[in-house]
Amino acid sequence: MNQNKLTLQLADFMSVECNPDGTKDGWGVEFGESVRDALSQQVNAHPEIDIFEISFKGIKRIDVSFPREAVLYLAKLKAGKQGFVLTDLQTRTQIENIDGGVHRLDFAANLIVSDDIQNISLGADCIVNGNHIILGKPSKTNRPLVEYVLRKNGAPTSEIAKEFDLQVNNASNKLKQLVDEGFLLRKEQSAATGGVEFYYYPIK
Amino acid sequence: MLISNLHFENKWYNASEFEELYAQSANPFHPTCEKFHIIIEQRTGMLMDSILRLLCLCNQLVAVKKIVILQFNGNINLNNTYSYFNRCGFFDNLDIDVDVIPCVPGSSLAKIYNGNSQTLVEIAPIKTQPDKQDLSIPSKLCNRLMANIGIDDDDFSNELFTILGELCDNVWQHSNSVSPGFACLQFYRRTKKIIITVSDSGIGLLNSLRPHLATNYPELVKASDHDLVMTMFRDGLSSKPLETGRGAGLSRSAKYALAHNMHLHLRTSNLSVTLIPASTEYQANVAEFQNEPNHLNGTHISFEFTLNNLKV
Repeated sequence: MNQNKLTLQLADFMSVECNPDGTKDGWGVEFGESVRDALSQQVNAHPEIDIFEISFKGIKRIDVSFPREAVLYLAKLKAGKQGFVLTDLQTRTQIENIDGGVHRLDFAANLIVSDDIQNISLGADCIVNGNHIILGKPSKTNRPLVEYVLRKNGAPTSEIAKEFDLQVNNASNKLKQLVDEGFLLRKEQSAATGGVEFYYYPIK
Repeated sequence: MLISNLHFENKWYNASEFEELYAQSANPFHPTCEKFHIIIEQRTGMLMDSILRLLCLCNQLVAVKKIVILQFNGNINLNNTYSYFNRCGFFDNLDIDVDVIPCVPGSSLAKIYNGNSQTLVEIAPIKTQPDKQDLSIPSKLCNRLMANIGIDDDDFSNELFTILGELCDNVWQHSNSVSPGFACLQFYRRTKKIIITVSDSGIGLLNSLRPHLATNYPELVKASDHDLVMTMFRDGLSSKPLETGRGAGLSRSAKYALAHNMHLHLRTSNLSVTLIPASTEYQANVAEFQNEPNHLNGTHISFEFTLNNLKV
């Protein structure tokens, strides 16, 4: 199933003096909130978009508060409707600071990282699928479902239920929880048996 | 008239030594005290964290209508502290009602040479009024330090930026004061020591947290200041509703500081502590809590480290 995507450059929403090398830095709650407000306007102007790629190109440094306020909080508000994947992160520290916000907000962050950052040690509270990293820890019983959807790059409820020997409504509840926690998105599609069912897919 | 005195002798003072000396003075905030008289000798030396505390102390006292006299002894042309205060911007940020003896410098060396020192980033005021936030402060401090210490490491630069950004943001978020906070950075070339320090004159970090403990962390309602401080730096605490996700900034900063063997000094209104790295966390048994420091409003945090101890 194809998803509609749009790339937004986070630096374009940051009204701050550039560093001598032309990059920008983001820090603090207030600044994060102001960027979120600007970003929200763009997001709200595109209800047809399933996944927004938020590029950190041109952003040199961030603290813990800024990405949480600017992006993660917005992603949480849009959970289940639209997804956000963070791209073009430069350093391990940027990822660790984003992780700080994930842990506190109790909402997953989806990242696409380059090969040289891919191998950094992030601990157990993340799911790695190639260069797609999800910061966050699903429950022990739900984690295999996320990993399955990532491996298959998407799957309907019925297939997932069959794979894990679950009743469909039980699988549906678990998957809905994963959507609410930011690990997956879902769309309605026609079911093989007639009627509609949800199709779950990664946010990348 | 009750006068409280603070006499700096011909020696160097870091934050701990400042507190030890200040603890010997009568509380200048006491209602019976009308005047606070500070003497700085010709060969007194003060590290940046003690300088910012002195600055905040002077400004806080004149704000409550105390007479404050800041006296520089000896020939001011030979008084190193006097010229250093001029160079770092101390006088530029000192309340005009502080009586400086013999006089305030005729011109500000901080303004003349702003940004031109390889080892000093001048005192930057952190304004707390809405729409007055200076977003450039952490970047400028960080850029200057990275340019001067000869380390090209993007992760270390971001770790340093995190510490600076979170400290500055705490002034904005928690000081509850119209008086500005201050940030400063000093690189001491001979010892290769670096001190990052942020001070404010607000209600203090722990006083900001305590009213919200019952809601956010009921298990900590009866915790001592000592235990609150350790929890704050280890796990993070927030005065805001938990669903906002806030409260991780200081603990993350402490994590980075630990990785580089930084010593952490925290001073609030009735607590002064130095946290020393031990293994993977700042531990209570290697923290130095100073008993009953003299009264000083606000939160004063400094990170101190040496180039040789950096893990880059």
